[in-house]
Amino acid sequence: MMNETAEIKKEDVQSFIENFEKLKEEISKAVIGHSDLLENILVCLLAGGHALIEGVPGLGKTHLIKTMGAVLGLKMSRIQFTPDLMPADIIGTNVLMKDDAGGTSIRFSRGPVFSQVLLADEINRATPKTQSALLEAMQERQVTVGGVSHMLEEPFIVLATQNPIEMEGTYPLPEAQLDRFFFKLIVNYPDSGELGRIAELTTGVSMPELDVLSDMDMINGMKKLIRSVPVPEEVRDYAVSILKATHPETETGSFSRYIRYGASPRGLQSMILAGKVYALISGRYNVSFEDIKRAAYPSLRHRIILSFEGEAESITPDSILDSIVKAL
Amino acid sequence: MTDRDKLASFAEQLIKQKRLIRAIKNILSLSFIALIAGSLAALPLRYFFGLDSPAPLGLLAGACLLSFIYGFLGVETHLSILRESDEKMGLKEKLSAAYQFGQSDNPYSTLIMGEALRLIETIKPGNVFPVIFSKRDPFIPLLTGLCLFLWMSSFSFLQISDRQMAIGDILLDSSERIDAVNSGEKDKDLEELAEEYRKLGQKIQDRFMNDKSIDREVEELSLRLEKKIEELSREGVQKESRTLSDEEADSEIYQLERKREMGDELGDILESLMKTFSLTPDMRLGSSVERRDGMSGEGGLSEERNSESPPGSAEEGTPAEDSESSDSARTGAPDKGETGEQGEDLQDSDSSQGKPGKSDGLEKDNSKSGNTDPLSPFFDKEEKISDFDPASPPGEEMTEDMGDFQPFREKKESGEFGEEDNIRGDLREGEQIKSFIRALPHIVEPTKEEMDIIHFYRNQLESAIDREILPPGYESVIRDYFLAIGVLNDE
Repeated sequence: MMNETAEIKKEDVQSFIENFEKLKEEISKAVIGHSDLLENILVCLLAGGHALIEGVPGLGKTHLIKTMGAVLGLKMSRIQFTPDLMPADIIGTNVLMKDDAGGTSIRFSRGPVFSQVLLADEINRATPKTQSALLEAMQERQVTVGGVSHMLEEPFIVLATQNPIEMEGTYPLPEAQLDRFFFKLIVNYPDSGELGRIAELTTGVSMPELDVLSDMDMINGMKKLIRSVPVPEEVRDYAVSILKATHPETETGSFSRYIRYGASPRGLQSMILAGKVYALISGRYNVSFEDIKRAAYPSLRHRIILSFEGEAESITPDSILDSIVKAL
Repeated sequence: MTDRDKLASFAEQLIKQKRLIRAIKNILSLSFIALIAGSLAALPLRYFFGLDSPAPLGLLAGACLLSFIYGFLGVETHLSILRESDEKMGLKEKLSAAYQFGQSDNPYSTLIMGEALRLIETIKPGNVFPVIFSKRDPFIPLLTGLCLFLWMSSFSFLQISDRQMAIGDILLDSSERIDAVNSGEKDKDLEELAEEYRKLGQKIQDRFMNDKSIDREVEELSLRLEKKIEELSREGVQKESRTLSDEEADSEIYQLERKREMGDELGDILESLMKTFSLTPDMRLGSSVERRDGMSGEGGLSEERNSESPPGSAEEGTPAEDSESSDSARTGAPDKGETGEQGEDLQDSDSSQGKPGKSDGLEKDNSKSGNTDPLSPFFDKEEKISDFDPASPPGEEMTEDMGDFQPFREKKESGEFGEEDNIRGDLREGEQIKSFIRALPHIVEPTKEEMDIIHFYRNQLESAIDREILPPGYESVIRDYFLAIGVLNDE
C-alpha cells in the first residue's frame, strides 16, 4: 500500500476513518450497545495488541467477538478454557502419521491458536500452565513445538474473556500474562434502551445478516498508518508522567500506598499506540493529551497491582488512574 | 518564507500579545491593591503622623509602573507559546505538533503543517490572549481619584481643636515677632524662619494635626532658631577679637549691640515657644552640645566634659530637675548637678566657686572677662549676673577702690563710727533679672562632703565680715541670713 517513509495523504487518513466507522457500524448491527468496547477492540486490533475483556456472564462478550471476527473477514477460532485444558490443546502438537506408502512421519497438528482472531473464553478457568501457553503466541506471534517455531498469520489478536465474580475453580492470570494484554476492557451492563433493543433483536425470528467488510490486507494497511502518527514531546512526556505515577515509589499523590506494583513500559507503549489510533479516528494527525488520557485507563488498569491496603479498602485501579490524571 | 517561518511569526505575535496582556493585568491588579492601601493609609499617615509629602503616592505609582514593565519580561519560546495557544483554544496540540514535526521527514508533516497554517489564518492573537477586565477594574479610576483627593487635598476629616488654633496663633505671632526683630537687618535666615513659622502656624490652623507632629515640627524650627541665635552671638565674639580704629570700633560696637539685642529678642521668642510647647532645655542643650563639639576656645565645651555625658542624657533631664538646678545655681549654693566640674574648681581656683547660673562648668576660665558664654542667647543678661560673684570673698575685688572706704575703715577701727556715717538706702524690691539657666544633661555624684563646703563658706564669710566695712547694723542682718541658711551656728 505504501512504504513507511512515503508521505501520507489526507485521503489515506480519510479512508482509514471511513473503514473504521464502517466496521463499527456493521458490528453494531448484531451487537447492541458496547460502542466504546467495540471501538477499543478495534483499536487493539489496529495497534497490534490483545485484549482482556472482563465482565459478568451474559453481557454478550463472546457474541461481540464472534461477530467482529465475522465482519473482519479474518480466520477465527474459539477456545473454551477449562481446568483440564492442556497447552497442546491450544498450540497444537506433533503427531505420528502414516502416509499412503505405509511409512510413518511426525507432523505438526496445529492448534486453535493458528488463527487471526482467537477467542480465549473464560481464560481464568484454565491453569496458569495452560494460560502461559499463549505467552509466546501473544508476544512473538509464533509458536514453538518440538524445537520448531511456527509463525502466526498477521493480523493476530487474542481476545480473552474472564468472569470477575466467580473465583471458585478459577486461576487468576499471572502478572506476566496480564502484561501481554494491550488493553483490559470492562463490559458494563447495557442501559434500558439497549436492553430493549437486545430483547427485540435476539428473541425475533431472524438475526441480521452481516457483511464481511475487510480483509487481511486492509487491516494491515490501516495498521501501517498508525505507527507514523507523530507524538509531540509534551504529550509523550505526559504519558511518561502517568506511567511513573503508577509506581508506588513516586509520591505523586496519596494513592501510592494502595499500589504494590506499577505499570511496566509495555503500558507506556500501549498508551502511545492507542493514542495514535484515537488521534487518527478523530481525524487528527497528531496525538493529543486527551488521547493519552483516554488510553490510560484500558492500557494501565490491569498493570497496576494493588497492595493489601488497596484491596482491603476496595480501591480500584481506575480510581487510582482517576487520581493520577487529575493530579497531573 | 517557509511554512514553519509563518508559524514562528504567528508565535511572535502571540508572545507580544501575551506580554502586553500580562503587563496590563499586572498594573491593574497592583493598582487596585495599591490604591486601596494608599487610600487607607492616607488618613493615618497624614493626620496622625503628620506625613505631608506625597512620596508614598509616588512609591505606589512607581511600583505599578514596575509591575507593568515586568509584564513585558518573559522567557516565552515559540514552542511554549504555541502549546499555550493549543491549550487555550482547544486545538489538541495541533500548533505545537506542527512546529515540532512540520519540517521533519515524518509522513504526516505536510498534513500537520497544512492544518496548522489554516488554523493560524483564522485565529487572531487577541482571541488567544484577550484583554479581560475583571469586576474590580472599573473601580480603579474611582480609587485613583479618592487616593489623590486624600493625599493631595487640604480637606480635613477631623475637627480642629481650639488648642490647635491657639498653637497656630502662637506660631503666627512668633513669625511676626521674628519679622519685627529682623525688620532692620533683613537677615535671610530669619526671614526664612519667620516664613516657616508662618507656614506651620497656618498649616496647624488649616487642618488636623496630632500633638506629636506639631511638637516635632515646632521643635525642628526652634532648633533652627536657636542655631541662628548662636550664630548671632558667635559673630559678636569674632568681631570683638579684631583690632579696630575708633570709628570702626564704634560702628562695630553698634553692630555688636544690635546683634545682641536681636539675640535677646529672639531668645525671648524662643523661650516663650519653649514654655508653650514644653521643650526642655536639656533637649536644646543636647543639640547645642553636638554643635559645639567642633568648637574650641572660648565658650566651647571640653571634650572631657562631652565624654562624661552619657548617650541620651538629653532626654533624661526633666523640667523639674532643670528648674531645681537653676534655682540652686541662682542661690549660689553648691549645686550637686554642677559640682562635677565645680568640685575641681574649688580646689583649683576660688574665683569660680559657686558661680550662679552660668557656672555649669562651661567657662571656668572666663570669670573675669564677663563674656563667659558668647553662644548663649542671654549673653548680655548673664554678663550682668557675672558682675556679682559671690564666690569671690566680698572686698577682695575692691582692693583698687579701697581708698574710698579707707576713712570708714579707720573710723570703724577707732570706734568713732557714728550714726551719721550710716549709708541710707531705699528699701525697695530689687530688679528682677531673668536668666536662662542651662542644666547639666545629667546629675553627677558630689565630689565634696557637704560639711566641707559649708565650713569653707563659713571661713570665707567670717574672714569677709572681719575684713570688710559693713554698714552699721547690717552685720546682724548678714549673720541672720547665714544663720538662716545654716552656714553659721548660733554660737
